Amino acid sequence: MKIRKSIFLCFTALISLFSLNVNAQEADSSRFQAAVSRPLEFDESEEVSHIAVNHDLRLGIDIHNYILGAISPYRTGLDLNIEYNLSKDLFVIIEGGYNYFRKENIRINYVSEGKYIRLGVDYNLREPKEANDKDIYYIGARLAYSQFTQEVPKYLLVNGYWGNSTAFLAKEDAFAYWAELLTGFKVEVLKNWYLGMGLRLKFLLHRSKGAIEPVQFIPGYSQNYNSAVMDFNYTISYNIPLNYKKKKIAVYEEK
Amino acid sequence: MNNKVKNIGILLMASMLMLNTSCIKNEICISANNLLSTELYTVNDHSEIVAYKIDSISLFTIAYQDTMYYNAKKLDKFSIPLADTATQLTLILKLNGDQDTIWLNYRPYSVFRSTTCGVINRYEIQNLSFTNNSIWEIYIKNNIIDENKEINFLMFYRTH
Repeated sequence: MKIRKSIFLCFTALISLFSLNVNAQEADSSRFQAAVSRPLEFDESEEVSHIAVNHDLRLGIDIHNYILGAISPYRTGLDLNIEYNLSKDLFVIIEGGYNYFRKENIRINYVSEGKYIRLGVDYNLREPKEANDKDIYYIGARLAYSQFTQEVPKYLLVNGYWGNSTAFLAKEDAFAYWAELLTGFKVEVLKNWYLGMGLRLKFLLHRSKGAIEPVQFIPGYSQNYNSAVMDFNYTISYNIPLNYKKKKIAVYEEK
Repeated sequence: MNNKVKNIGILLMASMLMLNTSCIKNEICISANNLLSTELYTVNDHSEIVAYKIDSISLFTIAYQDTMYYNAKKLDKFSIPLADTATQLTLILKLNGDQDTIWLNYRPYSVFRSTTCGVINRYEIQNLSFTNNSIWEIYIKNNIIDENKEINFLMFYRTH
């Protein structure tokens, strides 16, 4: 008896829900008919404001490391970036990666490896030509930090009289800060896939000093240890449209 | 839009102007060894310190059979290499027939130069002692032996 009562209650509840839904649809239909009866007005300003708040998230990889790695087998790394547009022209960027650098010759073996992070913004200089045009020419700035280790596992001391000898310099922790100014472009080559190329000017702000001085390679900065260097980047990015919405399909009811 | 394109052009040109800052400088690796340099002096009849050219000098160590200098003529200075794996050196000098011994304690330390030039050793002289057959005094002018090639010892000889 109890089971029957339960089934009834459930059924009643389902019917109630269904009827509410039908009422809502009917109400929607009547509103829609009213809307259809009005002349269509297109507000251009609304469309423009819609483009302005079109937030996207772009995930990318810098293939610059792989190109250098192909040229120099003693250099490997990974550089990833995440880009989010705060407005139509302003993007906030987080970049991070890992570099491994080794140099070997008759005199010395040198190894530097570590990770780095860059935070900054890009500003788009290009006006979009259509609503979904997200190609950009940008200028930007970054602040970067790298934490790494360097060591000399083996070096040769040449001594003509007493004979040559070998020794090592132990691994030491190091860090560096730098700033970057950059310019470049990103263009859509396939739907939501972008290729980018950029030019970076890097200015070393501060670095730690240890026994291995001057530092020979700062991950994320350069092989060069000058106070200013120029670098390139080549990126492949995938754009994730965050404001994606399903288009509503209007159903016209015949009177 | 034209202004923006112009701005990009200016940025690129500025970047190119700074290209030279990113070039790795060609390094010239200087001498592989730092040598201990000594100048020879004596005191003349007028009690003046003057440079001394030794008629004949031979210089060798007891740890190694090869002589550093053998019967070298008319020297007023000489340079000797130190061992990288030791902290003591015993030098034997034969000067115009007389023999002196110098005992030297030093500390070798490695200095990283670059991945091109490698590592070089410098040495810090800690103390020395010597016999007085011909040597009158040894004055340590500079106790660091490095790439600056400064004179480290001023060695005073008896001429009579």
